[in-house]
Amino acid sequence: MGKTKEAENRPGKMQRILKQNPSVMARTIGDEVLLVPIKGELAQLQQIYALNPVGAFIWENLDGVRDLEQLTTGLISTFEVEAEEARSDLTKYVEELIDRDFVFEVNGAGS
Amino acid sequence: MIESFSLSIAGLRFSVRSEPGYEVEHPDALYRPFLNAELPSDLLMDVMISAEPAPDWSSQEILFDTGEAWTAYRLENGIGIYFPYRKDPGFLWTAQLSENFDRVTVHCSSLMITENNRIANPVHYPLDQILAMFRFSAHRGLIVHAAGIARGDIGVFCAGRSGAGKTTLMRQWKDVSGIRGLSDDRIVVREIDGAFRFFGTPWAGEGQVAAYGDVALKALAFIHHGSKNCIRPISPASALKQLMPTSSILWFDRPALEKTLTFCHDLVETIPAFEIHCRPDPSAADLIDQLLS
Repeated sequence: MGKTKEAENRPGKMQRILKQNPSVMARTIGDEVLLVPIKGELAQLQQIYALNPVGAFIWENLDGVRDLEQLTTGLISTFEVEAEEARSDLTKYVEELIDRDFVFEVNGAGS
Repeated sequence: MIESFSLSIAGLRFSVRSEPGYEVEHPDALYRPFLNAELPSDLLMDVMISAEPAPDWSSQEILFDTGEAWTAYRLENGIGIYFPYRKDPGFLWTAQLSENFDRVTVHCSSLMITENNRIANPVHYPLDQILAMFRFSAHRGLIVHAAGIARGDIGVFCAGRSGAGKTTLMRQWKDVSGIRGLSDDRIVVREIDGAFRFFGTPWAGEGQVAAYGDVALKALAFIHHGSKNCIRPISPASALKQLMPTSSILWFDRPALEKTLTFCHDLVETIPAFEIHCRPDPSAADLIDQLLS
Protein backbone atom coordinates (compact mmCIF):
# COMPACT_ATOMS: atom_id res chain seq x y z
CA MET A 1 0.00 0.00 0.00
CA GLY A 2 1.22 3.51 -0.79
CA LYS A 3 1.58 6.15 1.85
CA THR A 4 -1.43 8.34 2.55
CA LYS A 5 -1.07 12.06 2.02
CA GLU A 6 -1.16 12.57 5.75
CA ALA A 7 1.71 10.12 6.26
CA GLU A 8 3.72 11.78 3.51
CA ASN A 9 3.35 15.15 5.23
CA ARG A 10 4.44 13.75 8.58
CA PRO A 11 7.95 14.84 9.58
CA GLY A 12 10.71 12.23 9.72
CA LYS A 13 12.11 11.21 13.10
CA MET A 14 14.92 13.75 12.99
CA GLN A 15 12.60 16.54 11.85
CA ARG A 16 10.48 16.20 14.94
CA ILE A 17 10.23 19.28 17.15
CA LEU A 18 9.68 18.67 20.85
CA LYS A 19 8.84 20.91 23.73
CA GLN A 20 9.27 20.59 27.49
CA ASN A 21 6.12 19.79 29.42
CA PRO A 22 5.43 22.82 31.66
CA SER A 23 4.35 20.41 34.42
CA VAL A 24 7.96 19.38 34.93
CA MET A 25 10.42 21.28 37.10
CA ALA A 26 14.15 21.06 36.41
CA ARG A 27 16.79 21.51 39.06
CA THR A 28 20.54 21.57 38.35
CA ILE A 29 22.79 20.08 41.01
CA GLY A 30 26.46 19.76 40.21
CA ASP A 31 26.67 18.50 36.64
CA GLU A 32 23.31 16.73 36.75
CA VAL A 33 19.81 17.95 36.05
CA LEU A 34 16.91 16.44 37.97
CA LEU A 35 13.47 16.51 36.39
CA VAL A 36 10.62 16.60 38.88
CA PRO A 37 7.04 16.12 37.65
CA ILE A 38 4.27 18.14 39.27
CA LYS A 39 1.40 15.70 39.57
CA GLY A 40 -1.59 15.04 41.68
CA GLU A 41 -1.04 11.33 42.05
CA LEU A 42 1.09 9.45 44.55
CA ALA A 43 2.27 7.12 41.79
CA GLN A 44 4.31 9.98 40.34
CA LEU A 45 6.53 10.31 43.41
CA GLN A 46 9.13 7.90 42.13
CA GLN A 47 9.46 9.60 38.77
CA ILE A 48 12.31 12.00 39.50
CA TYR A 49 14.63 11.57 36.57
CA ALA A 50 18.34 12.41 36.55
CA LEU A 51 20.06 13.63 33.40
CA ASN A 52 23.80 13.57 32.81
CA PRO A 53 25.40 16.51 30.96
CA VAL A 54 24.42 15.10 27.53
CA GLY A 55 20.85 14.54 28.69
CA ALA A 56 20.79 17.99 30.27
CA PHE A 57 21.92 19.58 26.99
CA ILE A 58 19.15 17.75 25.14
CA TRP A 59 16.53 18.73 27.73
CA GLU A 60 17.53 22.39 27.69
CA ASN A 61 17.32 22.51 23.90
CA LEU A 62 13.90 20.90 23.53
CA ASP A 63 12.44 24.35 23.11
CA GLY A 64 9.62 23.76 20.65
CA VAL A 65 11.60 25.53 17.92
CA ARG A 66 14.60 23.44 16.88
CA ASP A 67 14.15 19.99 15.40
CA LEU A 68 16.14 16.91 16.39
CA GLU A 69 18.50 17.27 13.44
CA GLN A 70 19.52 20.69 14.70
CA LEU A 71 19.98 19.25 18.18
CA THR A 72 22.24 16.55 16.73
CA THR A 73 24.45 19.25 15.23
CA GLY A 74 24.55 20.98 18.61
CA LEU A 75 25.52 17.74 20.38
CA ILE A 76 28.33 17.09 17.89
CA SER A 77 29.85 20.52 18.35
CA THR A 78 29.36 20.72 22.13
CA PHE A 79 30.54 17.25 23.10
CA GLU A 80 32.85 16.55 20.14
CA VAL A 81 31.21 13.22 19.32
CA GLU A 82 30.56 11.44 16.02
CA ALA A 83 27.21 12.00 14.31
CA GLU A 84 26.17 8.38 14.87
CA GLU A 85 26.81 8.55 18.61
CA ALA A 86 25.03 11.91 18.86
CA ARG A 87 21.94 10.54 17.08
CA SER A 88 21.95 7.43 19.25
CA ASP A 89 22.14 9.45 22.50
CA LEU A 90 19.50 11.85 21.28
CA THR A 91 17.09 9.11 20.26
CA LYS A 92 17.56 7.30 23.58
CA TYR A 93 16.89 10.40 25.68
CA VAL A 94 14.01 11.67 23.55
CA GLU A 95 12.15 8.34 23.68
CA GLU A 96 12.66 8.19 27.47
CA LEU A 97 11.44 11.76 27.92
CA ILE A 98 8.38 11.10 25.75
CA ASP A 99 7.61 7.87 27.63
CA ARG A 100 7.73 9.77 30.91
CA ASP A 101 5.51 12.53 29.56
CA PHE A 102 8.26 15.08 30.20
CA VAL A 103 8.18 16.41 26.61
CA PHE A 104 5.68 16.42 23.78
CA GLU A 105 5.87 16.79 20.02
CA VAL A 106 4.68 20.02 18.50
CA ASN A 107 4.77 19.01 14.83
CA GLY A 108 3.15 15.58 14.67
CA ALA A 109 4.42 12.02 15.18
CA GLY A 110 7.61 10.85 13.52
CA SER A 111 7.34 8.16 10.86
CA MET B 1 -14.08 29.21 72.29
CA ILE B 2 -12.46 26.77 74.68
CA GLU B 3 -8.84 25.72 74.23
CA SER B 4 -8.86 21.95 74.47
CA PHE B 5 -5.14 21.34 74.20
CA SER B 6 -1.96 22.62 72.68
CA LEU B 7 0.40 20.44 70.71
CA SER B 8 3.91 21.39 69.60
CA ILE B 9 5.55 19.45 66.76
CA ALA B 10 8.90 20.66 65.42
CA GLY B 11 8.23 24.22 66.54
CA LEU B 12 4.71 24.29 65.10
CA ARG B 13 2.13 24.83 67.81
CA PHE B 14 -1.38 23.54 67.14
CA SER B 15 -3.76 25.44 69.39
CA VAL B 16 -6.86 23.25 69.36
CA ARG B 17 -10.19 24.83 70.33
CA SER B 18 -13.78 23.68 70.23
CA GLU B 19 -17.19 25.29 70.15
CA PRO B 20 -18.85 25.93 73.52
CA GLY B 21 -20.68 22.87 74.75
CA TYR B 22 -18.24 20.44 73.13
CA GLU B 23 -15.09 18.87 74.49
CA VAL B 24 -12.34 17.44 72.33
CA GLU B 25 -10.67 14.29 73.62
CA HIS B 26 -6.94 14.53 74.20
CA PRO B 27 -4.49 12.77 71.88
CA ASP B 28 -3.17 9.32 72.67
CA ALA B 29 -0.07 8.40 74.69
CA LEU B 30 2.47 8.91 71.90
CA TYR B 31 1.52 12.59 71.79
CA ARG B 32 2.02 13.23 75.52
CA PRO B 33 5.60 14.58 75.22
CA PHE B 34 4.31 17.09 72.64
CA LEU B 35 1.31 18.26 74.69
CA ASN B 36 2.38 21.39 76.48
CA ALA B 37 1.50 24.99 75.75
CA GLU B 38 4.87 26.06 77.16
CA LEU B 39 6.95 24.20 74.58
CA PRO B 40 8.92 26.60 72.37
CA SER B 41 7.26 27.28 69.02
CA ASP B 42 7.90 29.77 66.27
CA LEU B 43 4.94 28.79 64.09
CA LEU B 44 1.31 28.74 65.11
CA MET B 45 -1.73 27.01 63.70
CA ASP B 46 -5.15 27.77 65.16
CA VAL B 47 -7.34 24.69 64.93
CA MET B 48 -11.08 25.17 65.44
CA ILE B 49 -13.07 21.98 65.95
CA SER B 50 -16.68 22.29 64.88
CA ALA B 51 -19.70 20.03 65.08
CA GLU B 52 -21.54 22.13 62.49
CA PRO B 53 -22.34 20.51 59.13
CA ALA B 54 -19.37 20.33 56.78
CA PRO B 55 -19.23 22.62 53.74
CA ASP B 56 -20.06 21.13 50.37
CA TRP B 57 -17.02 21.09 48.10
CA SER B 58 -18.45 18.85 45.41
CA SER B 59 -18.19 21.62 42.79
CA GLN B 60 -14.65 22.64 43.78
CA GLU B 61 -11.49 21.74 41.89
CA ILE B 62 -9.77 18.60 43.15
CA LEU B 63 -6.08 19.33 43.67
CA PHE B 64 -4.99 15.94 44.87
CA ASP B 65 -6.62 12.62 45.59
CA THR B 66 -4.70 9.93 47.44
CA GLY B 67 -7.23 7.43 46.10
CA GLU B 68 -7.74 5.82 49.49
CA ALA B 69 -7.30 8.33 52.28
CA TRP B 70 -7.86 12.02 51.72
CA THR B 71 -8.69 14.47 48.96
CA ALA B 72 -7.51 18.07 48.68
CA TYR B 73 -9.69 20.75 47.08
CA ARG B 74 -8.74 24.23 45.90
CA LEU B 75 -11.08 26.69 47.59
CA GLU B 76 -11.60 30.37 46.93
CA ASN B 77 -9.66 31.33 50.05
CA GLY B 78 -7.60 28.30 50.95
CA ILE B 79 -7.46 24.54 50.77
CA GLY B 80 -10.06 21.94 51.75
CA ILE B 81 -9.19 18.43 52.93
CA TYR B 82 -11.83 15.72 52.92
CA PHE B 83 -11.30 12.54 54.93
CA PRO B 84 -13.84 9.80 54.14
CA TYR B 85 -15.21 7.19 56.48
CA ARG B 86 -14.29 3.90 54.85
CA LYS B 87 -16.47 4.35 51.80
CA ASP B 88 -18.36 7.37 50.54
CA PRO B 89 -20.75 9.01 51.17
CA GLY B 90 -19.78 9.00 54.85
CA PHE B 91 -16.90 11.14 56.08
CA LEU B 92 -15.07 11.54 59.37
CA TRP B 93 -13.90 15.11 59.06
CA THR B 94 -13.21 17.93 56.67
CA ALA B 95 -10.54 20.58 57.23
CA GLN B 96 -10.66 24.06 55.74
CA LEU B 97 -7.22 25.70 55.73
CA SER B 98 -6.75 29.44 55.41
CA GLU B 99 -4.71 30.85 52.54
CA ASN B 100 -1.48 31.14 54.50
CA PHE B 101 -2.06 27.87 56.36
CA ASP B 102 -2.17 29.35 59.87
CA ARG B 103 -5.84 28.68 60.63
CA VAL B 104 -7.97 25.61 60.07
CA THR B 105 -11.56 24.74 60.81
CA VAL B 106 -12.20 21.02 61.22
CA HIS B 107 -15.80 19.90 60.79
CA CYS B 108 -16.35 16.58 62.51
CA SER B 109 -19.15 14.30 61.40
CA SER B 110 -21.63 12.79 63.83
CA LEU B 111 -19.52 9.61 63.70
CA MET B 112 -16.94 11.43 65.83
CA ILE B 113 -19.32 12.89 68.42
CA THR B 114 -20.58 10.95 71.40
CA GLU B 115 -23.86 11.48 73.22
CA ASN B 116 -22.30 13.69 75.88
CA ASN B 117 -20.85 16.09 73.29
CA ARG B 118 -17.34 14.72 73.41
CA ILE B 119 -15.58 14.86 70.06
CA ALA B 120 -13.03 12.21 69.14
CA ASN B 121 -9.78 14.10 68.57
CA PRO B 122 -9.16 14.58 64.84
CA VAL B 123 -5.78 16.31 65.38
CA HIS B 124 -3.65 13.21 65.04
CA TYR B 125 -2.28 11.29 62.10
CA PRO B 126 -3.02 11.95 59.29
CA LEU B 127 -4.62 15.39 59.86
CA ASP B 128 -1.80 16.88 61.95
CA GLN B 129 0.76 15.66 59.44
CA ILE B 130 -1.18 17.07 56.49
CA LEU B 131 -1.51 20.43 58.26
CA ALA B 132 2.19 20.41 59.16
CA MET B 133 3.10 19.58 55.56
CA PHE B 134 1.25 22.70 54.35
CA ARG B 135 2.62 24.95 57.10
CA PHE B 136 6.25 23.82 56.80
CA SER B 137 6.20 24.12 53.01
CA ALA B 138 6.47 27.91 53.35
CA HIS B 139 8.86 27.88 56.32
CA ARG B 140 11.96 25.90 55.30
CA GLY B 141 10.74 22.64 56.82
CA LEU B 142 10.15 19.12 55.58
CA ILE B 143 8.63 15.92 56.95
CA VAL B 144 10.85 12.97 56.09
CA HIS B 145 10.08 9.27 56.32
CA ALA B 146 13.15 8.57 58.43
CA ALA B 147 14.51 7.23 61.69
CA GLY B 148 16.28 9.91 63.69
CA ILE B 149 19.13 9.06 66.08
CA ALA B 150 20.96 11.53 68.32
CA ARG B 151 24.01 11.68 70.53
CA GLY B 152 24.21 14.83 72.62
CA ASP B 153 23.21 17.76 70.41
CA ILE B 154 24.02 16.13 67.09
CA GLY B 155 22.11 13.55 65.12
CA VAL B 156 21.64 11.76 61.85
CA PHE B 157 18.47 10.68 60.16
CA CYS B 158 18.18 7.57 58.05
CA ALA B 159 15.51 7.90 55.40
CA GLY B 160 13.87 5.02 53.63
CA ARG B 161 10.56 3.73 52.47
CA SER B 162 8.44 1.37 54.55
CA GLY B 163 10.29 -1.90 54.97
CA ALA B 164 13.73 -0.40 54.28
CA GLY B 165 14.89 -1.20 57.82
CA LYS B 166 14.33 1.96 59.87
CA THR B 167 12.64 0.16 62.74
CA THR B 168 15.25 -2.61 62.75
CA LEU B 169 18.01 -0.01 62.87
CA MET B 170 16.34 1.78 65.75
CA ARG B 171 15.98 -1.46 67.72
CA GLN B 172 19.71 -2.01 67.39
CA TRP B 173 20.33 1.37 68.98
CA LYS B 174 17.78 1.05 71.73
CA ASP B 175 20.16 -0.01 74.48
CA VAL B 176 23.31 1.80 73.41
CA SER B 177 24.49 4.22 76.06
CA GLY B 178 24.42 7.91 75.12
CA ILE B 179 22.18 7.37 72.12
CA ARG B 180 18.56 8.41 71.92
CA GLY B 181 16.03 7.84 69.21
CA LEU B 182 13.86 10.79 68.22
CA SER B 183 11.65 8.80 65.88
CA ASP B 184 11.64 5.45 64.16
CA ASP B 185 9.47 6.58 61.26
CA ARG B 186 9.10 10.32 60.64
CA ILE B 187 11.21 13.33 61.51
CA VAL B 188 10.92 16.99 60.60
CA VAL B 189 14.01 18.76 59.30
CA ARG B 190 14.05 22.55 59.44
CA GLU B 191 16.46 25.36 58.80
CA ILE B 192 16.45 27.67 61.79
CA ASP B 193 18.79 30.67 62.00
CA GLY B 194 20.84 29.31 59.12
CA ALA B 195 21.38 25.85 60.63
CA PHE B 196 19.69 22.56 59.79
CA ARG B 197 18.15 20.77 62.75
CA PHE B 198 15.82 17.81 62.94
CA PHE B 199 13.00 17.07 65.33
CA GLY B 200 11.31 14.00 66.72
CA THR B 201 7.60 13.67 65.98
CA PRO B 202 4.64 11.74 67.41
CA TRP B 203 4.31 9.88 64.09
CA ALA B 204 6.03 6.70 65.19
CA GLY B 205 6.59 3.45 63.38
CA GLU B 206 6.31 -0.11 64.64
CA GLY B 207 8.93 0.54 67.32
CA GLN B 208 6.79 3.33 68.83
CA VAL B 209 9.77 5.71 69.12
CA ALA B 210 8.35 9.23 69.32
CA ALA B 211 10.48 11.61 71.38
CA TYR B 212 10.13 15.35 71.78
CA GLY B 213 13.38 17.15 70.99
CA ASP B 214 15.66 18.40 68.27
CA VAL B 215 19.34 18.23 67.40
CA ALA B 216 21.77 19.63 64.86
CA LEU B 217 21.78 17.56 61.70
CA LYS B 218 25.25 16.13 61.12
CA ALA B 219 24.50 13.79 58.24
CA LEU B 220 21.62 12.29 56.35
CA ALA B 221 21.56 8.76 55.12
CA PHE B 222 19.38 6.59 52.93
CA ILE B 223 18.90 3.07 54.16
CA HIS B 224 18.67 0.00 51.94
CA HIS B 225 18.78 -3.75 52.58
CA GLY B 226 22.10 -5.32 51.70
CA SER B 227 23.87 -8.67 51.89
CA LYS B 228 26.71 -7.00 53.80
CA ASN B 229 27.07 -3.79 55.76
CA CYS B 230 28.54 -0.85 53.92
CA ILE B 231 28.30 2.90 53.89
CA ARG B 232 29.32 5.26 51.12
CA PRO B 233 29.08 8.98 50.54
CA ILE B 234 26.74 10.07 47.75
CA SER B 235 26.51 13.19 45.62
CA PRO B 236 24.04 15.98 46.41
CA ALA B 237 22.10 15.05 43.24
CA SER B 238 21.78 11.43 44.34
CA ALA B 239 20.75 12.60 47.81
CA LEU B 240 18.06 14.89 46.41
CA LYS B 241 16.77 12.13 44.16
CA GLN B 242 16.35 9.84 47.18
CA LEU B 243 15.17 12.52 49.60
CA MET B 244 12.18 13.74 47.60
CA PRO B 245 10.32 10.40 47.33
CA THR B 246 10.85 9.71 51.04
CA SER B 247 9.39 13.08 52.07
CA SER B 248 5.88 14.43 52.47
CA ILE B 249 5.67 17.02 49.72
CA LEU B 250 2.88 19.04 48.13
CA TRP B 251 3.58 17.65 44.65
CA PHE B 252 0.43 19.14 43.22
CA ASP B 253 1.19 22.75 44.17
CA ARG B 254 3.88 24.34 41.97
CA PRO B 255 4.77 27.30 44.26
CA ALA B 256 5.00 24.99 47.29
CA LEU B 257 7.00 22.42 45.34
CA GLU B 258 9.42 25.15 44.16
CA LYS B 259 10.04 26.20 47.77
CA THR B 260 10.46 22.62 48.94
CA LEU B 261 12.86 21.82 46.11
CA THR B 262 14.95 24.86 47.00
CA PHE B 263 14.97 23.81 50.64
CA CYS B 264 15.96 20.22 49.77
CA HIS B 265 18.60 21.48 47.35
CA ASP B 266 20.16 23.66 50.07
CA LEU B 267 19.97 20.77 52.53
CA VAL B 268 21.82 18.28 50.32
CA GLU B 269 24.40 20.89 49.31
CA THR B 270 25.11 21.67 52.99
CA ILE B 271 24.83 18.37 54.86
CA PRO B 272 26.89 15.30 53.90
CA ALA B 273 24.76 12.45 52.58
CA PHE B 274 25.39 8.72 52.60
CA GLU B 275 23.86 5.51 51.39
CA ILE B 276 23.74 2.69 53.92
CA HIS B 277 23.31 -0.91 52.86
CA CYS B 278 22.87 -3.16 55.85
CA ARG B 279 21.97 -6.60 57.04
CA PRO B 280 19.15 -6.86 59.55
CA ASP B 281 21.43 -7.60 62.50
CA PRO B 282 23.10 -5.62 65.31
CA SER B 283 26.33 -5.14 63.37
CA ALA B 284 24.64 -2.46 61.25
CA ALA B 285 24.65 -0.13 64.26
CA ASP B 286 28.38 0.47 63.68
CA LEU B 287 27.52 2.22 60.43
CA ILE B 288 25.52 4.90 62.21
CA ASP B 289 28.21 5.19 64.85
CA GLN B 290 30.59 6.23 62.07
CA LEU B 291 28.21 9.02 61.08
CA LEU B 292 27.75 10.27 64.64
CA SER B 293 31.46 10.25 65.48
